[in-house]
Amino acid sequence: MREQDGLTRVQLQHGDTAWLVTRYDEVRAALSDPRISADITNPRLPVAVHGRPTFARMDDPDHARLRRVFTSAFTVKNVNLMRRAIETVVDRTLTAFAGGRNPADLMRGYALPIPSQVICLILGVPYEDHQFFEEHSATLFDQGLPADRKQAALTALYTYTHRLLTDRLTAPSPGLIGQQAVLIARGELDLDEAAVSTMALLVAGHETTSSMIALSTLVLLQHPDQLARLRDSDDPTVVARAVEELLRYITIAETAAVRVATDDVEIGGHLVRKDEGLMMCLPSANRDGKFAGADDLDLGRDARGHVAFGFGVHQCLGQNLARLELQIALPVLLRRLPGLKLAVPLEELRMRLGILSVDELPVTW
Amino acid sequence: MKIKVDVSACIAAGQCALTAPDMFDQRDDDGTVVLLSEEPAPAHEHAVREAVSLCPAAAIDLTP
Ligand code: HEM
Ligand code: SF4
Repeated sequence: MREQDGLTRVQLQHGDTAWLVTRYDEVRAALSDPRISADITNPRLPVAVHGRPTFARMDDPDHARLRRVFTSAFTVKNVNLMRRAIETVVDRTLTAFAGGRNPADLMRGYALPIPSQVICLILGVPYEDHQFFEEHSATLFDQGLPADRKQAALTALYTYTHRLLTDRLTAPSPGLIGQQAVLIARGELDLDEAAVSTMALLVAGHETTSSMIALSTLVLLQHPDQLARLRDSDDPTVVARAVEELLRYITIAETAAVRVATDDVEIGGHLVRKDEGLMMCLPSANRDGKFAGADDLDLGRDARGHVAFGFGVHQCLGQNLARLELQIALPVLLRRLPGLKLAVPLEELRMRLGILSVDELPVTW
Repeated sequence: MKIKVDVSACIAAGQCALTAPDMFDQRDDDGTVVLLSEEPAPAHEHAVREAVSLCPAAAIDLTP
């Protein structure tokens, strides 16, 4: 499909049609065009659940106003200041995992607890609540589940972050929740909006990165030569390159970037009319001819231009955190468990679509 | 080569600071781009060009 054309019209479940954007240049063009909107209050935006809008599903200036509350925490510099804290979380989690039952589920035992603990630290969310928010987040991202289940999960998460913020309006408290509470108390931030943003960060902060840790491990186990490259290098630039290539090759956020045109726009030789929906096929764009031998995993290539984090004004807020978590969590796992392998046949894994993931990743070592 | 940045377009993604840390930093209060020098030394030109192509918000401009 991608070879012939960058845009294809597709039929959606409920009868609407939308454009599937499959090529690198067209995806970047669409995502950086101000006439292409992410506004979820527009009924033509091709999404399953039209819930309370997070800034991810707003246009500027509201999107920029709400995103800006968090941008300082996620700069390259400030994320790097968290390196030691992340290393501690990774080390503690790996020690528990390696000393526990064998075989075991790498998802529950390693891939999920790391980003969950890290985002809890950043936000100031009590990690004791992790089962609650992990379960509801997984529901949100599972394409196999009906819309009412997702709506219920969304409401539960929103109620939770709303309560956390409310509880802390009066007492100083750590993390981005404490920081927002101060702004709310000063009348500079709306409580309901803050609760939605906090929910978005909590969900996006662990669900995506855990999937990347698990699927990267799975992909590397399928490519032992590439696995050895990452395991045997202590050069940070080699590790950073490898992580970019894994982000490109796997591209977990298959359906994250959905849009609707607010005007007639020409993209890749097609006229997209006002009110038509668009879905960016990020995995396809990342396997475009722009990357030589794109279907091969090559940890040595320069994959930095990938669109696994999207493009344009909505490009992932947490990308530098995700990079650092992956750069720390992957090599140390491969080194400390050199005999790591899948404990079940590949076909038995249940892949979850939407945000590409696995429910379980049984491994032995 | 001369660099110009448009802070009002910047979304603080940090691609520039990651790619060309000698040329770009991010502000502490809102993460938007800080240009460390308008004219890159020849050794940094390649990284600057890469930062331009990676910037998701087209906030970095080059003039020869
Ligand atoms: C490997 C891990 C991750 C991947 C692949 C990923 C992917 C993405 C993608 C593709 C988008 C753009 C969606 C769109 O254009 O509509 C996005 C946006 C976003 N991501 Fe991530 N993400 C990851 C990790 C994180 C983390 C750790 C956080 C936590 C802070 C986070 C928070 C966000 C937020 C808040 C947005 C919305 C940004 C905006 O609209 O301005 N993500 N992410
Ligand atoms: S890459 Fe572009 S958007 Fe990101 S911080 Fe630099 S100038 Fe701003």
